[in-house]
Amino acid sequence: MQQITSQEIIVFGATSELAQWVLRLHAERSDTVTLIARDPQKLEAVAQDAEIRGAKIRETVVADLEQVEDTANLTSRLCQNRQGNVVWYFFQGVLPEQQLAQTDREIAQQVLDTNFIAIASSLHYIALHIEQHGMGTVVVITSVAGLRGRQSNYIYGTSKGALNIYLQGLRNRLHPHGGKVVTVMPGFIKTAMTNEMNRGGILWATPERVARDVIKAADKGSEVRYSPWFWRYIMVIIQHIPEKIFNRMKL
Amino acid sequence: MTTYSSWGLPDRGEQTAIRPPWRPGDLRQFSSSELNDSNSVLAYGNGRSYGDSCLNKQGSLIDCRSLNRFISFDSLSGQLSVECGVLFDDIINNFVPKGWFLPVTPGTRFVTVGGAIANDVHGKNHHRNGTLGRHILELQLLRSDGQSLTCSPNGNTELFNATIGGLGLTGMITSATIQLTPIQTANMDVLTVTFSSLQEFLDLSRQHDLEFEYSVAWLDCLSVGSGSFRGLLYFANHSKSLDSDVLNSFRLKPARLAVPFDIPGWCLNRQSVSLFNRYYFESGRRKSGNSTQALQPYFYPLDGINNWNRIYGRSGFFQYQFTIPESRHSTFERILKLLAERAMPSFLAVLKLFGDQPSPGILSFPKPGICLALDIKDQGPKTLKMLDDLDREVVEAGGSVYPAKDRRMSGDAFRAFYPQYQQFSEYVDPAISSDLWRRVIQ
Repeated sequence: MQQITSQEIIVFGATSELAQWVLRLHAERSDTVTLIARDPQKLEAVAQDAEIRGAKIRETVVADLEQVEDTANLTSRLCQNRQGNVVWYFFQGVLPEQQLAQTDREIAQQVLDTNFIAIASSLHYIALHIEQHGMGTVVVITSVAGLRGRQSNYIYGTSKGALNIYLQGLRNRLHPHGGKVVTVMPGFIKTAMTNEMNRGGILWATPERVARDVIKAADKGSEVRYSPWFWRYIMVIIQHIPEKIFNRMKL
Repeated sequence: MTTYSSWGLPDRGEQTAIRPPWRPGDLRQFSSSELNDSNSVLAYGNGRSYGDSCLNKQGSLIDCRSLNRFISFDSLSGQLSVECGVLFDDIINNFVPKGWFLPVTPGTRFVTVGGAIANDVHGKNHHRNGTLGRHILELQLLRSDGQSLTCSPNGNTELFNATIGGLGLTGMITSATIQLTPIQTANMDVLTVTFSSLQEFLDLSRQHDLEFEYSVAWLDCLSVGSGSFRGLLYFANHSKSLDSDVLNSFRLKPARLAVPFDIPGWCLNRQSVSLFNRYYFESGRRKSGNSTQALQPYFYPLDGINNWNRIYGRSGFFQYQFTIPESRHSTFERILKLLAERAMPSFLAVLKLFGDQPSPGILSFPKPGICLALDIKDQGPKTLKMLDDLDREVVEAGGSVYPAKDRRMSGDAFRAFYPQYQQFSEYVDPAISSDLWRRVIQ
């Protein structure tokens, strides 16, 4: 891998397990980091861990990333005094139980706010910042669930699918300005979020493994990265099942 | 439901697991008013215990691997505080470049700190440093009554002593502070010597253990069957020459080999083991004398092969590790003879002379004397019967068998090895249990 000089990175949703593993890879390179998360205690613990592993902590910000307005204002502030090739990571996301999201409209709204609207609102400012400075990288963790709606998690899937489309457009827009937009689509990850699920089998990847894919994609400025790689092919098949047949399936 | 297995039983059995509580957390959420086996819990680390001490089939496991953060490090004193799910691998990768190493390490670096404390692990430097428990300055213990207790040699001492080597039964260890040991470089100065009798092994150990921090021997079990006794003794020290380049650029290499599936049982037979042992002994003898070795292959040769436990096939294997007083030569020789007659010979037999540094752990395994660990292929009832016979020899000699590696010892044997279990059981948390504990106590 090419040698990368010390970078500045900003992490939304820094206490997610995947974020912590990506953060550790950046810490090894002594990168400067700004961490944003909701829970102050957890944020403090994640920052301490990153610092012991070599990261320089520039700032830790406690913020409720479900609040669209606050998140956008925060991002606008963060943009103000940052230059150079800043890497903006978005790990924020909630996975509701589909059943709850179907019976409680507010939960559905929260999912869309946290997973899509708040990120898009932040990206509004980041895009302007990148256009102005002529460089910058955005890395957003979406999901293969955003590629086809299915009854078991389509509200979560919608939020991730909307992000996928938003990022396609943004990538297109920032390309002439030297900005990179990276979409990372993981499959199933063994994290605390999925602890109660049945996690046997080869489709389940560890967060360390996915984190290595994330940082590789960020370094290269890849457009779309599936993690692990085989999801690209699984999703080609799933996306090509005719709607008539898909309708009768229970996925 | 997810599959949680132990090292000696690959790919076996499903087990429910629950999310770990957040540090500093609360264990009360896992305990109901009515306590029984089916709502008992047990902290699970990385599943490197060989037997059933890390499983709780009737109840649930608390999967602790996501509690894997460093908490603080004092670069002057080398005191490191970590959450329970941090792997030794992670500590080595981050602190060897800074000139610090683990005070005690077992033969694999894929153990969690919590698991290592719960089994009071030992290593090749037992004669010098004793067990890991001696180097734990403090630990945080969650109890099901809602308390989070700071335990150390100076506070909550009884609970600390019960938790060191306490098989995870005294509460959930959420974090711990370890005293790391300073090193100058990531290389080892190794002395390799051959021996051809038990007496020679003991003499050589006593002679060189004074000048070497690490010592361990590989024993050729097949030679025992044919009436002789031979093996290779490895002594080592961390190299003294300061080499900051080697230190700074240190990085553990991932395993290059893997055993991708269970090897069919017939591949491992007397002939193949004999071939391996002869090759291994001869190549060791040719290299005998002084040499320099890198830290990783010296301490963790088997970690170079992912899933090596699968060479024993689907039926899995037993690891039998015992210690008996040095004076019991005849017992030791009888045990070796029994093994030679009644088991598939093992190509991994590890011999060490334990030192007399006492562990704080009430239930800790190591005692001064000869310690032998070996893999035994599971050949059904006859293997179990043989192991029971071995237990009787060890009991009679006043020795003990390592519970971290066991999944079959009888309750009688356990209570004979560890008469202090009664004192220990006063500290067992009522909401916690394990397959092993139910087996040896009830």
